[in-house]
Formats: sequence, structure tokens, C-alpha cells
Amino acid sequence: MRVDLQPAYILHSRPYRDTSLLVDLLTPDFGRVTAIARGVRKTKTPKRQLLNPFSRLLVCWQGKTDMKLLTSFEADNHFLSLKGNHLYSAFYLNELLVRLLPEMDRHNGLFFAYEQCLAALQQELDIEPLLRGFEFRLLEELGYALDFTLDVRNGCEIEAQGFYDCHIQEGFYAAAPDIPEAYLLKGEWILAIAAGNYSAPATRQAAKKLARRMLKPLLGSKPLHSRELFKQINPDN
Amino acid sequence: MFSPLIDELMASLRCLPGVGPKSAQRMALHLLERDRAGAERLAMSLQKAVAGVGRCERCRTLTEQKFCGICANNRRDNSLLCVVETPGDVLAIEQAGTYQGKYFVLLGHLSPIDGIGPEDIGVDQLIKLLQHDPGHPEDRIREVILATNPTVEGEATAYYISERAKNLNVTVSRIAHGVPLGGELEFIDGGTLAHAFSSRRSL
Ligand SMILES: [Zn+2]
Repeated sequence: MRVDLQPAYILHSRPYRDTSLLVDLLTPDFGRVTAIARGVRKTKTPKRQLLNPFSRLLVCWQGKTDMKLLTSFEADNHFLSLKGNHLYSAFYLNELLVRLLPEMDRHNGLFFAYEQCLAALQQELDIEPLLRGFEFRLLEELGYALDFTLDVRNGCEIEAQGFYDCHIQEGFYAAAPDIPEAYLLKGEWILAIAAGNYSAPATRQAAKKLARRMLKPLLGSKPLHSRELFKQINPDN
Repeated sequence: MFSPLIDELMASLRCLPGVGPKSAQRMALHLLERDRAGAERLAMSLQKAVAGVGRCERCRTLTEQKFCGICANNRRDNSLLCVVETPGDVLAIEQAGTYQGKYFVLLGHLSPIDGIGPEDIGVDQLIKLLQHDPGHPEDRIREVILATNPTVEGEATAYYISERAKNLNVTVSRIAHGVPLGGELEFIDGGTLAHAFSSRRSL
């Protein structure tokens, strides 16, 4: 199989053999793709720089098994300069994608969701709503879509005064009286998340806990390094 | 294809960066056929260097002494500390010839996805160095110049160090990046130009 001029973001690249790089790409038509960029480490060419994280390229590759070969790549005239916590957040997005997104699995909107998220990080917008939005979007793509307006067990709408629990495969439902407090979700928080309104600190907290709880079984026991790093310089976060 | 000793030599040479099977074969045959004395010398100095060279206790650069030549040099400015990723970066800055302070060599950069964290690049040792009271006020480090590479990992590393050094009463600066001297704008890549614009300064 040959693929021509596919837009792609570099998620990660690591040395491969003597002079090559193994790069993880996010593409609109093929999802995450891992391919070899042959010989790019031989000299310090400007081409090598294009293969750094967050750079957007047009790429061509061939092969359909594990060992795809980048036959050419060029800059897509789109340059980001991410800084500080916004840069760390962008690394977090990449780590999530590399860890969770299966290779060559088409995810139509995810490329654009990622692109929008990077652009917003570049503009140094409020980080938490961006990350939560992306996490819930990624969960949806992985088959764990949450309906933030519905109590799935009785078919009623989520009520602002209600108390709920969440199951990764089902969704929200009225909380049992003995639910641990850490898992308890107020209806108003769920509705605020649905509306993308993260102005209340309680909503932020709840959304963060919820996203972590949902991602945890998918991530397994290995920690997310970008999250640890973020925590070290933002100890109150 | 060759006898075992020659095969082994060729395999060993391939640990060098950029040396593939072809170059390894050429090197091995050259040493054995044409330059036995050179080969002898190479073997000896390799053995001595590997046994003797460690890291400078102050700046982590490679040296066989307790402190490297730069750290031990009292004529250099102790109040300036330049943080770089590799010993090669120290050489490059030394060759430029204008910097008179001292260095700290991380021997890498942060790379969250690869699991390379602050503990792998000696950040705690760097912070201790910044906190250290040398007894003599002139020797106290007043400024840390972050000269990590202008890659996203280099930026992430610089940011991490600047956050950790925030409350230490030390000025933290980052070297400028942008258009190379003597270059023509037309031929400069977009990424470099974008960076040069975002870090422009008023005159
Ligand atoms: Zn030293």
C-alpha cells in the first residue's frame, strides 16, 4: 500500500537502528501510524528537525504491516511554539495517543480535535477545559462515549440536584447510598461538563477525577510520565 | 565471512554512531592491513579512557579528574552557570569564546514519553549547586543561563529547571534562538522564522 501526501502530526520519534528514526504519526485517514524515517540521523539536516513532536507534515509512506517506511515528508507550513505548562500539556496529549490509540485504526474527527487542542494550547488558553475535552473525545473514539445528559439505568435526564456514579462501559446512573465520596458526582457538575462550562472549581475537580477514573483501566499500571512531570512543577494541581 | 576475530572487531566497531556494516568492514581492514601501530594505540587509549574517564563532580561533564578543567579554573566567573545538554555543547560554546562562566551538563533532556525524567538528567544535583553557599559572596551563582537545545524537549527541560529554580534567588535566563547571523531570510526554514518572530525584542 502507498499513501501520498497525508497530513500528519508527529507524536513521538525515537532512534531506530544506526541512522534511522521510528516515528509515531497522527493522521486524519489512518489514525496513529508508526513508520521508519530512514537515514535521517546521519547528518544534522534540517529535515531531521521536521520529525520533532507537534510538527505538522505532509507524509508519504508505503507498506501495510508493522514496518511502514516514510518515503517522503515535508513541512506543512504550520509552526507551533508551545511554552511552559501548555507545552507540558501538549506532551500529555501525545503520550495519551501513543499509549491508547491502536495503530492504523481510522478515527475521523480525532486528528482535528487534536489540531484544535494544540492551537488552543499555543494561544495559551485555560488548560483544564482543553485537556478534559480532549480526554472525553479520545474516550469516545476508543468506544467509551459518555452521554453527559442521560441517566442510563432509568432513561431519565441528568438532574442538577441528583447524585450520580459512572461506569466506564455504561455511563451515568443514580448513585447508591454507600458510594465512596471520591466517586460521587453531583448532577450540576455533569451538566456543566456537558456544556463545556468549567468555571466552577468543583466542576474542574469532578471532571479531572472522572477523566482519570475512565482512563485508568485503559492505561493500566504504568504511570503517565507527562502527568508526573506536570505535577512536580504544579504541586497544587 | 571473515575469521572470528575479524568478525568480532567489525561487530564492535558498529557501536560507533553512523557506522554500518560497510564502514565497519572498511575500518577493520584498514587497521589490520595498513595501520597496526595506529590500531595498537587506539586499543590502548580506548582501554585507558574507558577505565579512567568519569564525570566531573560539580558539572557532570566527562573528565578523569575529580573536577574538570573548567570547574577547577579559578579565573572563570563562578557567578554564572550555563546549563547544556551534552559535553559537545560545552565545546561548541567554548569555541565561540565569549562565555567566561561555568557549566552544568545534563547529559540528556526531559522526554516524558520515553520516561526520561528530572532524576535522569541530574536536576537535583543542579538545584543543590544553586543552593550551595560557597562562603565567598562573589562565588555565589547569580545567574543560570539555560542553553538546552531549541527543540520541544529542550524547551520542556529549560522550563522545568526555571520552575525549580524560581525561589532560589537566582536569575534564570534562556539563550535566544532565531535567524542565523549572515543568513538570508528567504532561505531560512519556517519553524526558525516563526520562533524568531515570537521571541522578537523592541529596539
Ligand atoms: Zn566540571
